[in-house]
Parts: sequence; structure tokens; C-alpha cells
Amino acid sequence: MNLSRRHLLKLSGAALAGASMAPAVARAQTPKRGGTLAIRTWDPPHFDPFQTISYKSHIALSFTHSRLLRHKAGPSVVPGTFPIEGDLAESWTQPSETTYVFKLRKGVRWQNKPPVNGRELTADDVVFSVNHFLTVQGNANAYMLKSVDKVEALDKYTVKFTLKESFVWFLDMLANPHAVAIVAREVVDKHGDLKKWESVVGTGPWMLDSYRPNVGLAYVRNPNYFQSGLPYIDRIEATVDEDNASRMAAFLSGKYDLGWEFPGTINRVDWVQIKDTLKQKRPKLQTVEFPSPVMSHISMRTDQKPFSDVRVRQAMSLAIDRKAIIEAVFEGVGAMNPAVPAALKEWSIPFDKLGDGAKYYRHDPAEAKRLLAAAGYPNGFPGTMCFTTYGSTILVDSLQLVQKDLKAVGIDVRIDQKEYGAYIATCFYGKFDSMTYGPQTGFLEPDNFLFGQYYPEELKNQSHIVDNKVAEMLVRQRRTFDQAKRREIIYDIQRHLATQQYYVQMPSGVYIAVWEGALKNYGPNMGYDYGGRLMAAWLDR
Amino acid sequence: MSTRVEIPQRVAPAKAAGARGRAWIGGADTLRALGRFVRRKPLGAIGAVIVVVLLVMAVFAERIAPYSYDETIRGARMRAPSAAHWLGTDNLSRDMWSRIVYGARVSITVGFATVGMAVLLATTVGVSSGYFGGAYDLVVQRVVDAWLSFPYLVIVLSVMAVLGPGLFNVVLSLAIIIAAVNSRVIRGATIAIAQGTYVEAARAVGCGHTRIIVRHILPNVAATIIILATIGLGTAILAESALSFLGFGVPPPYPAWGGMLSGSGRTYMFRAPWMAIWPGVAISLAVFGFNMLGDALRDVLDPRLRGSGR
Repeated sequence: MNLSRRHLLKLSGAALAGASMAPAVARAQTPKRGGTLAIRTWDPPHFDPFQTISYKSHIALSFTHSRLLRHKAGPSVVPGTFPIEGDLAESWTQPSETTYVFKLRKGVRWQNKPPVNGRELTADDVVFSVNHFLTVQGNANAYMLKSVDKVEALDKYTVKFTLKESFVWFLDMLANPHAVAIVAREVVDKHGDLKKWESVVGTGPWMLDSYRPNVGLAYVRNPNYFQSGLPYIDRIEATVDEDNASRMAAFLSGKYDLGWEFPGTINRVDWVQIKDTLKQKRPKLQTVEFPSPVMSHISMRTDQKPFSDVRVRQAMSLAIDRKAIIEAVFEGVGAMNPAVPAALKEWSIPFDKLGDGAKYYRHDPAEAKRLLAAAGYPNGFPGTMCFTTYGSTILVDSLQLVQKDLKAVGIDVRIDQKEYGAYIATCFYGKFDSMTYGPQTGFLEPDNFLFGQYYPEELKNQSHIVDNKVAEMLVRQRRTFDQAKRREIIYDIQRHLATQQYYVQMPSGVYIAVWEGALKNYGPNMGYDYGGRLMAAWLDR
Repeated sequence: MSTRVEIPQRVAPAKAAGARGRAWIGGADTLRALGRFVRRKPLGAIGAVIVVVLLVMAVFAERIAPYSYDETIRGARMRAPSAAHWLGTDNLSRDMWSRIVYGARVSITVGFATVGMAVLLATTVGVSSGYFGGAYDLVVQRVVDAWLSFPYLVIVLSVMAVLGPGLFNVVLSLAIIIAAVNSRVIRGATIAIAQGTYVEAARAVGCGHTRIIVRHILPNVAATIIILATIGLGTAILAESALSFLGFGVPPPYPAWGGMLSGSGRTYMFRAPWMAIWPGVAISLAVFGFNMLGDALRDVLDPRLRGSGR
């Protein structure tokens, strides 16, 4: 069974109900200081947030570093929504469409480590971090703040950003854990870059106490954290564990307090296998389900035949049996995705509002064949499909179903399997001859999904799309401050893209976020901000 | 006044091996020879049967398998072994027996192609190095030393990372590993044979290097090569499974036993253990079969072991 819009609403309702009850319960109990939280983590390639897009590094730094803004966390936040609140910024104003002024909290101190040794954070640190983010060589996330013209310190606690043009997602970008972690100039000067673990000095709730490559990381509470009394948890033990059987056994034995998969979840295929055992062994576990923003798609050379013909692309979408994919790889629970994944519930268009394009998400091989014949391919055509496994069984299994579905309408696909590094360097950035199949980053804003993939000449425009209509709408939504109007533009974009099928979107799985019952005031959500979600949580054991 | 000396083309060691070998496998009464082989080398005979079964499965997969390797059977997701599906079905509703049968094709192809390429390379390097000796031997053997000093998986994964996954690349990367090991053994055998009086005699009457190698050295190292090749088959099949397990093998949906084991097999191990068990059994049986056959052939073809009762 696929997860319909109604099911999603039910899930959201359940999450909201839980959320509305949980704070009451939390308030009824006095938060306790202390304890150690154990989680599974990934070994970071290094610790420089400006030199990698790796979630492994960004998750590790979410405990130790602050940003100007952050996504609100806790049980009251509905998963899939990302309300913004100040992190280092106490408040902010927007004097004009292209100007933002942030007032910083006073008395924020760097962690008491050399070379900063607990000095006070000032506006100059923010200016340095933003400029470093924008100018350092090799920062693949720099595009997020491409709209920034200049950033300046008006006084010790005031920072002013001037943009080149209107960019309504600017605050979202600043709050995104992918973006600017505020770092100290002295640390960069001392180490040259921030790759060594010794250079992990931030203003975040925890300090990195130790790092053992391929073994784990330990964090201790930052006693000088700027939010009085926080964090409650004294120590976080993050274990690197690369084998799923080992992780599963560890979780069953109570070693981890959060689900072992990103972001604190358990894959449904594993969950189905161990849930009964867990009921006996760990009866106090809490769970919340919400759709994953990670969706795979087929991208194709729409600038070349046969994919330049919209009927071919529509036929490909009609050939895919998405319900069968949900049944086979997501244990029957998944979410159908238009261009913006269903997980971003504020921005993803419901299928009943998708209009004429909705029909291309049906499974209709006969219509697919008819469209192919009309496009001049009555017997289909051969093609290659670039692919890497990402080490994911789900991805490999769904690829096989996609290949079979395409073959059924005459599109004979040969899999061109590449090593991960080679794939990222080529196919991920549109360097392929025919087709590519793979997942997209689970972004938290629709602009990241749309602009990068559909605007002409953008790096992640894998399908080589040049569509003036969609380009105009993409720019317009970036300049529309009224959220309701912007949502309507983004809905229009998705309607248009549904008919064009530049990418053939696949369904997403539904996360099962799992955490130990003793962990209070915790609310799961998407994204790398583990530290932010745990900052106000506490342990009752 | 010159004296004409008759040089025998095949001298004692090769003849002896040939004579005794024929008594085992090429005599007039083949059935009796086979019977003796089965009695003396029962494990080798079992190995031979397994190899033959694998060959038949690989060649006639379309006729043996009730379903295509990628055919999904509606309503048959993760069915336990039954009369309808002898080995059960997988998470994509595909018949496991059919996929195991087709998987034999990958294993056999990789096994024989790898060993063929490795033997060619190893024989060229080993025989030339052992025969010519001197500085050439020194340089070649240091290169082989360096090659052997790396763990095989590191070299294979490096080659695969550069060339990308695929059947030919699997064969190539495994062949160069196996060739390095085998070339050392073949070189040793070549050195021993090159010191034989018949080789000296051939050289004395003016035979060129090519003639000596082709007519005198190669026939006498043939038994060693056959033994290495047979044992190498098991190694190649196991290595291919390891590569598929790591995601560097044959791309989906074509079934490779290692890939079946590492992918869905491991993921669904608790709920559908047959998805992991059968590919594992197939790998074990294939490696067992080739190794047992190789061991038996070594005993039969190696004059030093013959008659030892081992």
C-alpha cells in the first residue's frame, strides 16, 4: 500500500497530537541534568564544514557549532516543517528586500579550547565565517549564499547582509545545517583549515572531547553554552558502526538511544524484522513516522533525442509501476512524489491539485507504448543508465524494478554501474550520455530541489533542461515574499513539471524515527541537525 | 668429422608423466579408469560431478530455470521454499532457483575467463623469467614481489575503482592477481626443467630459445599449469563472489551469487533466510567442487605425489 495524501495527513495529525501532548508531559516533569546519550554515527572524512558536503561531517559538527539561525526543534515541531528561530542571532530585521540586519546575543563565548580559549564571540566572527564560506576553495555548499553581495559588522553585536537580488529563502539557508557554521578566525589561522579534530572549536552546546577514527566520537557538555542551563545531557557517545547486522544487534541490546539510521530512524525493512523483539526487550521505545525527503529519479539528456521529445519522457513515467516499488522496497509504505517531495508538506503539491500532469504518475504501459509510437519509437529504443549503489539494497532493488518496467514498454536499458566517486564526479552533475538513476540530497527547502535541478546551466541540472517557462517561475518564486503567493508559484512549477517529466520521480520511503523512552523533550525531524534536536532534550534514567 | 646426435623431442620426465597420466585418464578402457579414479579419489570425483553440474547449469540455464532471472511472479514475494518454488522467492518476487541457475553462468564465466587469462599471463612471465634468468629474472621477480606484497583485495578494488564494475573488469582484475602468484610457481618449475640435460642437448645442437621453450619447457610445465588452473577456478569464483558482495561485481539485475548474498540476502536474512542461504550454499559448493577436483588432478598429474596414497 502506498502512502496517500490522506495517510500523510494522518501521520502528521498523529505527530501533532503527540507533539501537543508531549510538551505537557515534559512540563509536568522537571528536566534532569546529566547522563550519557549513545547514538550511532558515521566516521567524518574530516571536520571542515566548508570543505565537504558530507553529512558525516555536518552531523558531527551539529553538536559543537552554532549558526546565526536554526530550525526550531522539539516535540512541538511537526516533522517535515522547519520553523526558524535565532541561534546566535537574538533578533533580525529586514529593512529592504535585499538587506538583513542581525542582532547577536551578548556574552556568547567560544568553547574553552585553544587558540580562542573562551573569548567572546563578536560580529567580526560572523563576518569572517560568512566570507570564508563564500570564498574558500572547494566549498560545494557556497551556492546556498550565492545571493550575498556583502556582509559587514555594524558594531560588535550587529551584522548586516546585503544581497545582490531578492532571495526569499535567505533565512532558510542561514538556518540550514548545511550552511554557515560560525567559526573563529584564530582556529583557521592556526590550523590552515578545519579538517583536524583539534580544530573543532565552536559555540555549540557540546564540545568534542575525543575522536578515534572509525571508532567513534565523544562530546561533553559545554559549561559556557549561551543558553542558560542547556544542554541537559552531559555526554554524547557516538559510535561509528558500518555493519548493519552489528548495528541491529547493538540496538536490540540497548546500546543506542536513537534509531541507527539517518536521522535517528530504523529502515522499515529492518523494523519489520525486529519490532516484535523490540517490544519485549525495549518496551519504552518511542516512534514517529514521517516521509523521507530523499527521492530517487531518472534523469536524462533532454537536450538530445529521444529524450528531447516530451512524449518519450511521459511514456517513461507511465511505464514505472510506483506502487510495486513501494510494495517491494518500502514494505508497502511509501509516499508518491511530485517534483518537490511529499516530505516537505508545506510545499509539495497534493496529487489531487496536480492537474493534467497527475496522469503521468499512473502505471499505464499501454499508454506508454502509444506515446512512444507517436514519438516515432514503436519498438522502443536502447539506452544506458548510469548508476552507483550507494551501498543501498533499497536503491539496487528499485533500479531493477525500474529497468524491468522500462523494458516492458520497449526501452532496453543497460546499467552502467560506476564506483561512487566516479559517479559523483560525472553522472551526478549531468555528465552522461543517456540516463542516470539515483537519489537526490534530502533538502529541507523546495528551492534547493527546484532551482538547482531545473534552472539552465545549474550544476545539478542533470537533465540539461532549458525551459524558459520554468526558469521564469523559479526566479519569480525567489522574489515573492508573500508565502501563500510563493506556494502557489511553487505549485504551478510542479504542475508544469508533471506534464514535462524532465525527471521521472520515484516514491520515497516513510521514516520510522525511534528513540529511547527515557529521552525526554526530543522531537525527530529531517536534516543533519542532531545537536539542535538534542540540545533541550534530557534523560530520565 | 661431425657426429650426428639424435635428440629426443620429449624426454623422460614428460614421458613418464604422460604414460602414468594416460593410465589414469586416457587409457583404452575409459570407464575402468574413471572407476579407479572414483575409488582412489572419491572427493575429487564428487568435485568433478559438481563442476559438471555447474557447467550444465551455466550452458543450459534457459532450459533448466523455470523462470527468467528477472521475472517477477505476482503475489509471490518472499515465499518460502515449496513445490512451486524449490528454493523460495526473493523480495522482488523472483524465483530463487532460477536466479541460482543463472548465477552459475556468472561464476563459470568469471572462473574460466579469469583462469584462462591468468594462465596465459603467468606462463609468459614465469617461463620467460625462469628460462632466461639473470638480470631479466631479477627485475621481473622484484616486480612480482611488489605485486604480491599488496593484499589482493586492495589491488582488485583499486583496479575496479578505476575501471568501474563489470564482468570484463572483474575478470581482468582477478586475472592479474592470480597470474602473479602462479607465475612464481611456473618459474620454479621452469628453472628445474631448464637445467635438464635434454634442454642442454637441445641448446647444444643449435635449437633457438623459442623452439626450446615451445618443444621442451612448456610440455613439461603443462601439468603444473593444469593444476594451478584447476585450483585457481575455485579462487576466482570465491573472489568474484567477494567483489559482488562489495558491490563491484556484475551489475544488476543479472544474478551473481555474491551479489545475491550481500544485497537482499543479508537485508532480509531474518524474515527470508533462504535468500541468503542458497547463494551461500552455491558459492560453497562451487568452490568445494573446483578445489577437490584440483586436488585430485594434482595427485594424479604430479609424479612426486603419485602412488603416495594421498
